[in-house]
Amino acid sequence: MRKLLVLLILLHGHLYALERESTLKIYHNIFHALSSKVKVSVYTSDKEYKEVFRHSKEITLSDNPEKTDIILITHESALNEILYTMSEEIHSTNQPIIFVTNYHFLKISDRIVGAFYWRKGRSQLLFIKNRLEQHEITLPEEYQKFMIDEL
Amino acid sequence: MRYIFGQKMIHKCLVLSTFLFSSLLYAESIDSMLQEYNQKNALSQKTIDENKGHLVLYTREKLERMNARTLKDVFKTTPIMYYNENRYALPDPFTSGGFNTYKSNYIRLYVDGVEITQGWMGSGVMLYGDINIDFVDHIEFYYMTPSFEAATESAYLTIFLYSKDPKRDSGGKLDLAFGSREYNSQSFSYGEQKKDFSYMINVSHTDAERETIDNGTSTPLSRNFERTQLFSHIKTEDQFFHLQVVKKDTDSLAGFSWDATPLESTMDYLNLHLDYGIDLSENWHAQIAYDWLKTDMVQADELPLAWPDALGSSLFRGEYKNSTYTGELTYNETIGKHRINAGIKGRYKTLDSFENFGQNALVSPFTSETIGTLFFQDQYLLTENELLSLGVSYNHISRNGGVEDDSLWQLRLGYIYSDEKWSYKGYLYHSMFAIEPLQRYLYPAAYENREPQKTLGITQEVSYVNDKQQVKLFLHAMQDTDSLFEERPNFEGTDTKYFTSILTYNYKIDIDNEVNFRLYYAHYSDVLIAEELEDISGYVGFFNRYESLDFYNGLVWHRNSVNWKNYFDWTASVSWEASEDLTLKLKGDNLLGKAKETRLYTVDPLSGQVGYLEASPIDQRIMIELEYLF
Repeated sequence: MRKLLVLLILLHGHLYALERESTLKIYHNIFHALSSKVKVSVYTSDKEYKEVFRHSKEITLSDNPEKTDIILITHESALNEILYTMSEEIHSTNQPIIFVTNYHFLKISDRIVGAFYWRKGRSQLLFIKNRLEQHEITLPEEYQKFMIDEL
Repeated sequence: MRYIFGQKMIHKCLVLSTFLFSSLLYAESIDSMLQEYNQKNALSQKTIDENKGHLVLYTREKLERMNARTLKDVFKTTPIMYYNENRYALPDPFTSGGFNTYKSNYIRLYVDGVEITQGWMGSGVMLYGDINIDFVDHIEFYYMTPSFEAATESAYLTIFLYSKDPKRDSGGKLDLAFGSREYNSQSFSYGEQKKDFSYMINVSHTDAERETIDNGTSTPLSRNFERTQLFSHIKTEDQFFHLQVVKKDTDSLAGFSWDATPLESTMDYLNLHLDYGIDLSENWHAQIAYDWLKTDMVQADELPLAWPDALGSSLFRGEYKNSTYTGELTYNETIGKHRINAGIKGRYKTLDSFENFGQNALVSPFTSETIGTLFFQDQYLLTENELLSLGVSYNHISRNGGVEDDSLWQLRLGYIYSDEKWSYKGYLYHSMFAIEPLQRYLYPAAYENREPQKTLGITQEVSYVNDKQQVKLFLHAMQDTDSLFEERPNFEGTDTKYFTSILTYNYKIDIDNEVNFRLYYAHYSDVLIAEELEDISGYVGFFNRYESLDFYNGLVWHRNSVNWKNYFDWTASVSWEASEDLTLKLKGDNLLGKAKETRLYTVDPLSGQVGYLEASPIDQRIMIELEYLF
């Protein structure tokens, strides 16, 4: 059953690339490392990720980026919109945590605490320690190797 | 905030339960989750359709770890065809080393699901067979006839290149490489995901001074080339557009010289490819493509040239222009346990012009082919683990200039079993192949009333996979009737028989270390210029990572009954990630200088005596590369 059921729903090459089960598993882990809540509220404007998170019992999709636990950003225009919305507010621990899927975005704003991204065909996980501290986030021990002090 | 006793208890319980919940979550290590995520999301697009055929996959990670810069780097490790070049120094895996125009038309090449073709002059492999693959995310090789939704024309091997997705590979990349014999290559890419669309552009330039081939004169044969290529695309959720340009100026080795002693031998190509596709609805998809090629040939010899359009002269300055127009409409629907694919495709190949020394020299009445294709495929889910597939395709090729038409049928019956660890695939197929237009155009009398080739084949594949290992055995038996692969004089149109087998074993030691092993054996009867041919080869690849260093060692071994000589092509590379943005690489190709050599036949025009030169398509080269991401 590994491949055959999937086969029947394949259409063209440009279909969504995310595999739901493994994507949910890794994001559940990351989001629960960032937030102590049992059910984490997540805002994203990305249709593909929305479709994946819609099947989660541990993630609630939020429509309001200002009233969510975590904002997941996948493209630059969404990042600019979010940063613009948040630009009037000062840094505080109550602000949503911004997490991205692109390494370059980490350089754009120090409000972004980490990224899960692709590099040369391999997924990479990275957290910035001093940015996590601004949110008073302490990651579990096994995440230490994915942390750098600053960018 | 003040808590009363009950609230405080509830709060503590919630914190405790959260902690327990989190501990459970972390029970599976983040490393194993990342590994699983890598495996299941390795491709930028979900492109693999197990029913397309027998697959050899090169993921982006594997391409990076192999330090594969060109399609040739991948091709040379991949049975059945491997990589080879013809007497004009063009990528032509099927070449016999004889005086054929282009032999590898039965290898079809696709980029992002759209076929690249050189139309009148040959398959897309002709120019794309050694292309720079900086724009590529992953590569799929499918053995034998793939499913009919993919091919307009019959194929023995289908290569799918899929481009990088800007959602994953956004930003820029600059790549500079320098190597032996003043080899230098530059590549620049930039991609971006916008809110409603994404785009990607890659421009590369390669100036390759290659090893020369001694032909017994003071002027050895040259195959140096300079290539500039552009790849670009723009995509939305339901539409895509590609623009690709390749300009390749190459010294063409023996060219049209019978005895491989040309005074001058160059071929310059300028190729343009455009395509547009749209999902009209959930079920309907339409796409159109245009391919254009300009070929400038300068050939000179002391004796008449081996090229009919030279009309017996020893000088030829020909310019050919040809165009290919392709349109298709496909329908996909799932009805209960049936997955239906059906469609109609049309292709028009035309030789636009031929000039010799700047004068119109196109006298042949045969200048175009129109190919109409209808196909239908039903994939039926027998049980949760078993799939049956039936495909039928009809091609009608009509030609102008009074040349006869061809009607070609293809049938394909398949069975797939797959569970968590084991899978089995078996296909029975019947295909038909017609003579390519350039061959028919150049030698009209020789191919008049020539029957299309009929191919009957059976393929089977058994594989076992677990977290650490993958074992795969592929078996293939086939017979061509009225073979187009038989080249011996007076034997044209006889039957060619094939038996091939490939054993693959991959072992993943841990997340950083892996070994790949492949063994190939083939036996052919009445193929090309041989009555019998046995071919044996092997490949072993070691992929190792230590901190920020990546090592690759790949050894390809070849041996065949032509001379039972052993050939070894050892490729080694080390890359150092100096930072997240900067990587330095050192690579050696054909380090032993013993890579496979193939024969390039010569004929003494005066005595008629046949001889041969030996040439390896793989150059020995050391290369330093710098890669900067921004």
